[in-house]
Amino acid sequence: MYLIANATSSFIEIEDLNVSLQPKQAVDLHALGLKDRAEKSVHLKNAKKNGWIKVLRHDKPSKKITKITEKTIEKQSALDPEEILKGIRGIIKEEVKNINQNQQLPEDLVAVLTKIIQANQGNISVSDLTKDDLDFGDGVDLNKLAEIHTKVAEKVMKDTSSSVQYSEESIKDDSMKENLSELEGLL
Amino acid sequence: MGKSRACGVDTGTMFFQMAEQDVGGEINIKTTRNAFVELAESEDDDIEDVLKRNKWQYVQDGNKYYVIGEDSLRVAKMFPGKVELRRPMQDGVLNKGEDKKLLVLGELIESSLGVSPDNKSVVCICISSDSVDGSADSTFHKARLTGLFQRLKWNVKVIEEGLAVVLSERPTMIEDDGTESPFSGIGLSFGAGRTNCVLAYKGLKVLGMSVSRAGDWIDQKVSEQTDTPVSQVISKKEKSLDFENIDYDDDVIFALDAYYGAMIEFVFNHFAKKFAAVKSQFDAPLDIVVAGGTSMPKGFCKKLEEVIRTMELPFKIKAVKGSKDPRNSVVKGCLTQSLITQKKLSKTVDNDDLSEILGE
Repeated sequence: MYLIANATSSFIEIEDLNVSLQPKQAVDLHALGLKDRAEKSVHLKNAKKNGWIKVLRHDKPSKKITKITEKTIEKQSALDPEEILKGIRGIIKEEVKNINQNQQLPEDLVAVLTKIIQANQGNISVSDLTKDDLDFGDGVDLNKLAEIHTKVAEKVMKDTSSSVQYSEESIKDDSMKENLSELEGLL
Repeated sequence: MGKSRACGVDTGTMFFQMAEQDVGGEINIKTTRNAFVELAESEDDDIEDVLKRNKWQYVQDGNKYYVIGEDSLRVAKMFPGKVELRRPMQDGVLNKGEDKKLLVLGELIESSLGVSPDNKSVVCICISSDSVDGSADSTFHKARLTGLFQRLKWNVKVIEEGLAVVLSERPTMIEDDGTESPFSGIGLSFGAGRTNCVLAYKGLKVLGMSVSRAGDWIDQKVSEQTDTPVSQVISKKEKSLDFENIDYDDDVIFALDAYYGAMIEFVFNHFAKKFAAVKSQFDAPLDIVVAGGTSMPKGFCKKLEEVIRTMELPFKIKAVKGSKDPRNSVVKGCLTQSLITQKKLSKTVDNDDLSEILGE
């Protein structure tokens, strides 16, 4: 059993476990099938540290399993990101060649792909839980919230541009016309 | 000012879709994968040229670039485990662990929909119904998503995903006096991140719920049980899964069959509890209409019927009907609602209170 409780008077969501708790609500994470994930959850760890979540009972997993996990982590951390990058640089050309078999290898594209790898080197991790990540049921009117988020979106999108292509299809759906006239009478 | 528009948008966990009807009555649907990968920050001026020359899809934010849509998936497949495919959405709601979600989703919305041509144009979007399994909450998601469309001056109508399926698939109920009530029954959308369920009567939602057991949950569980990478599970699910012909010697297919069954049972167990509150109003057998990418394997409706026929449910089942166009059913339902709402809006004058028309 891994019984935790929301120690706050607000709604809390433990993002990386997909678990939401109403104020003072308790839940058994093992009963939800989250035995392994609960042990690894960064968000749960932070929520406990900040006092938002109280642990009522925690039956630890067996030592045997812990050992295996530690070994796996050791093995993973032994990988040198620089080495990975070096290896990847070598295979990028091959991979791009496979994609563009009939084209000459675009050298500049290799540079872009390298940048993708660089950007992702330290990125494959779960983000820490911040206050922003918590859903607080604060009773603000939904229309006001939407207005706030319109302003947030305007700020976020201030300097952006894009090039997006969509797969497009045209569908002839005779039933929609009938549905519409029927629904207009109903709604 | 241009001609008023009415559009439907489904910001799914896996795909972003926009639908609009053209003058000839055909429905045009734009689809792209709702995912991206990040490029390292650079002062290099020619990155944009390179992306354009190679026809890669991207979003630019200052001097940062993000490869988006199908191209992001291509990059992630080239470097499995080394490039992180990031998603604006997770489990059917905005991904709280992703700080670039608004940026990417905002650009997808702007590039597919554009700015509203006038103050009578409507976009209908769908959100998940309230969660009944302690997973994600959609209040925050609804407000944020609405904000992204209002920024482009659209009137936003929000409906629940299961209702979109009802509006698109037209379930019916036979009343005691023998008359048929259209758009009455249970609409189910089996997506990647969530399963949504709505009971509707004559096009209006009576009750709705959602659970986090959906396509991604099945893939993850089958992967864990069979020691098979998730990508291979997905591939097998899409190419070989046929519920009318299960190969029990194939451990992945066997597990997929078992977890699909468990998902259906979980959904209907929760729905049965919700239904108890309105049971007295629904004595007649109900149509169940099914859509969403996770419902696409052959024989899914038969499987669903087999599972629920063994359950003790507080309602009778009239028929289980699969959508002819499961991938597009939700966005088509949103389009249907937007056309109705836009017609209502067109009859209003500038100072009218629109909240009654746009509210749920």
